Amino acid sequence: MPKQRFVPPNALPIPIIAQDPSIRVGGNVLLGEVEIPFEVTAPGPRGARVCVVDYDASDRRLYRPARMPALDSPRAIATYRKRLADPRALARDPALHAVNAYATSMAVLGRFERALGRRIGWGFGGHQIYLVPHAFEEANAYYSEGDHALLFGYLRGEKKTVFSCLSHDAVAHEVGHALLDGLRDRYTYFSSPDQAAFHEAFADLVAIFSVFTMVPVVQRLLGRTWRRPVVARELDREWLKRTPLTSMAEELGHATSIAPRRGALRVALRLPPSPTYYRDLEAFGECHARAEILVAAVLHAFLAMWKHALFGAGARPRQTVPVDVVASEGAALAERVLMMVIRAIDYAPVQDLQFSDFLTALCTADREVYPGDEKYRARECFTEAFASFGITAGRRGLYWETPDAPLSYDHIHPSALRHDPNEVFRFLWQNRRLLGLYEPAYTRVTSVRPCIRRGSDGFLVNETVCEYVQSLTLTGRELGRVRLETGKPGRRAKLEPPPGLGKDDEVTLRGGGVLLFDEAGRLKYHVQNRILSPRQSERLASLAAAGQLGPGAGPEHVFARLHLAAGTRWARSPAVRKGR
Amino acid sequence: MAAKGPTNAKLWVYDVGFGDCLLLELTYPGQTRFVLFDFGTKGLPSGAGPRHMQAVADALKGKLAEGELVAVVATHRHRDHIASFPLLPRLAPRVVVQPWTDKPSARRDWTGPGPGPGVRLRRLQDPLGFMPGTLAAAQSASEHAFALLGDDHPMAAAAKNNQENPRARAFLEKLCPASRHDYVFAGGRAKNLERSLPGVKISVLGPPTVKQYASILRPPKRSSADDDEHWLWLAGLTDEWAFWHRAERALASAAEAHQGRGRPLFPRAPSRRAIPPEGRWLVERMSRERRDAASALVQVVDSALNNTSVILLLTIGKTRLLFSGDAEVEAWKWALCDAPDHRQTRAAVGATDLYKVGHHGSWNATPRGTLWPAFGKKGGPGRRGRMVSVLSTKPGTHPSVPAPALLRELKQSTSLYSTRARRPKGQLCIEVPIRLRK
Repeated sequence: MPKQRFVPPNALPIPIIAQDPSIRVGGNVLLGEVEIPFEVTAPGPRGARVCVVDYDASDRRLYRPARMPALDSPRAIATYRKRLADPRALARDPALHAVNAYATSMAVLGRFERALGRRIGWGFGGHQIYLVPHAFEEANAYYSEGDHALLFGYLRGEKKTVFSCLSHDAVAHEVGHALLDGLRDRYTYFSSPDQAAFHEAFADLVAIFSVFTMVPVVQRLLGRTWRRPVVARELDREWLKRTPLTSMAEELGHATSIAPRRGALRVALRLPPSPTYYRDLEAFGECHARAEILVAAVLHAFLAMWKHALFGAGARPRQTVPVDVVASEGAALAERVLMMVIRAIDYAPVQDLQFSDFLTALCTADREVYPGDEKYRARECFTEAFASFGITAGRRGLYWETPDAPLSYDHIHPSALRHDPNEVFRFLWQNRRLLGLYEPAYTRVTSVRPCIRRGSDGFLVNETVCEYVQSLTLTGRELGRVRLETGKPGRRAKLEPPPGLGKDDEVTLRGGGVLLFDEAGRLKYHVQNRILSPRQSERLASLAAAGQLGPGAGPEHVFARLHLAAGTRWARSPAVRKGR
Repeated sequence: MAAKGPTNAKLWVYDVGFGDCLLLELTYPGQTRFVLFDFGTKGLPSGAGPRHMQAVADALKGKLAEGELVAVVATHRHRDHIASFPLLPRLAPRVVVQPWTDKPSARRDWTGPGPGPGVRLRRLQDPLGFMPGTLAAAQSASEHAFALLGDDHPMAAAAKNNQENPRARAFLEKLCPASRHDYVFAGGRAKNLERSLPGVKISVLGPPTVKQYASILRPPKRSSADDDEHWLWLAGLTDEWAFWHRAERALASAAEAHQGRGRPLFPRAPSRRAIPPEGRWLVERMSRERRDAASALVQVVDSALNNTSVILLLTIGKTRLLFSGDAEVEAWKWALCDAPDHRQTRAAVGATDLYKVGHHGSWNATPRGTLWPAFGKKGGPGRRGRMVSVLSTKPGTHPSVPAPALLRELKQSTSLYSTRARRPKGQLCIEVPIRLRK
């Protein structure tokens, strides 16, 4: 009999720890199941995108690379499930940690790739990110761009050791940071309070909704205490706060204090809608605090959509729905919202992001995929929820406008536009005036990303997402002569030099945009922050307030210089400032 | 009747390399009184032998025999300020002045003497937020960090300097009865010292207590009841004890592993120490990052200890002498910008005639934004009543100390007396004359 050729599947279903090992059902760790992109891994596991290296820098020890379990039969899956759910095996076997962290991170990556219809690069330029599940003995976990790595700490306790690599939230959160950095590397630059907060909020949302998408997990957690049907009037913020979905985070928080990102859900739900937070830069200027506003706004939109999907527009207060339906609908909706949030990144400005831009990006991205949306009314719910937290789309509107200027496509080859930065630059240069580029600035196309998505008519659609940046370095003296656009024809406003900037001190103005081309190579959207936009004054004031003006004000200096901003100005160069 | 004050004054600055040892000589009618500020080092002067500190101790004894040692001021617990006191076994001062954080009977969570609510800070690594217990844990963490960093690391000297110094502290504790110890804080009084130095007005400008400092921090505006938990959660910690004890334990594990005595996380799992070539790039970076984290922690502890420095402003007639230990920018910001009486303090500091340069000339102990512009008697060599500055330091011990920019300013705008200046062979100290104005 001829030997059959092995046909690899697209995706591999694999059990993972649903939340963390402290969440148990009948003494066993609660598991969920995800599908990850299939690949034949090397020991580590080491795949095309994620390489697990189990090195403990505190103990200076390298654990033997783990092998992916062969999950090719129901029996093999059951055996692996049993082992992963056994708390004693988890405490003894680092290989289980390595595989679980690999699977969790690949699940998040897979979701991003599905949402955007293309491979996602890492921010550091390499193809593979290191994942170090037992990096150090410390209550910490973080994405380190310089190390090309996701580093997860552990904490030895009197009775047990707590591992951040086993927390679904911690892994999803850090992978979220790394992927966002790959999509928008300038978001780690200091710009506005919103931009700094966005990285945290985005990673939180990825973590929260990653757990929510696992139907059996949501079913089990809701069903455990909510055996009676859910009543329409009860499905609100207070209800969600009381469900185990949020209280389990509390349990983890008390046990470990390691990045309990589900705590973000609990914390964000604690904020009742109010437009005051967003305006209050004193209390909500710090990036984590400000991130809560965005997370809260998205969660409130999610709740409204959930309620609408379950009960419709004319819900009666006493109308009930079985818990199972609530759970499955919630999981499906979580998938939809997560996809929306990820897709919106393609429609968000390349830098100097504000929450209002994100709202416009969300709505535009969603309209592209779901032009009509009777079931969830997603865009309506998002707009209302954001408005209740003081975030409105502003002058730019709810959707980015399609360029109506007569752009020139002479000598532009649509096929080259899909991959060649030089061709995209040529298009930009050819249309620089119509596209509002600032001619004297240095302009560079930083990425050209072809992607495929399913259109609203069910057909596959080829699109191209390109990013470009502009920068212009001026002295304090020259800055005073810059005139900003006001949005009114013929009227310009003076750029206010930030306080403390000397006449010879240099400062860099930045701008840029995203170009979205359709299948025919025609420009569909141009999401732009112009160098001479009125926001530039605001941005410079923010930088000055945070001590981020001057040479070397890039992402690598953001944290190192915080402590040094106050009062001690003997040395001016950042390199010296790091010393004493 | 007002007590008769000193008629003459001098400051003897002993060259102990990177450390402090200053002897203030006050001549009263018929009697000479001395106040000794600190005695320790963390880097001997160039060319000095191992018995250098003993030689300084002998010279001190000789000098002290000319009068009475009325007070020892141990500005803070860093080794370069107190480690050598045990070389003076027969020292018998009337008074010992130390910061409030060094009070032996203090509870670990004491937020300091004086009025104010007994709050706890929620800023875990704030240099002014350390209580006696957290200071001790931080010092212990620093000790482990030293083992991890090794002797060659630029922060090794600071890590060693941060280590607990039980011998010197016990020595200081027994120097005189407990009732004659002044454990001082900003705005408080050094009553025993005042009694011992008639005619000298003593103002204590630092260190601030945690409760004083906490009073200027605005709590976050939140509506929910469990804000504190939330803020701690954001920091990834449960409280300051947890932070420092975890840091201590983590560094201890790392130091043990460094010395080959590590405790494996998974004893039964196959593992190895040798790193294969494909893993070296990452492992080297991670190891460097660990050392950087330990180094950063050492800096935090260093700043915290420096900011516990006793800051004394002595006023004799119209002459003002400012001794600030190693107080850093945070302590100065408190004294000159945030304290309730900061305007008076700023005016008093502005009239300083002699300034003992803080922290051996580091730029953040004489901050340009607060302290330096407050000095009103700076000026060129021709200026009458030009401020005198006194610097005890040794370059190359601590990165960028003394700071070249500060040194340049001190030379240009003050009459600088530095232990770096050349002295006749065999002479261990420099003499700084003080002109007393009535």
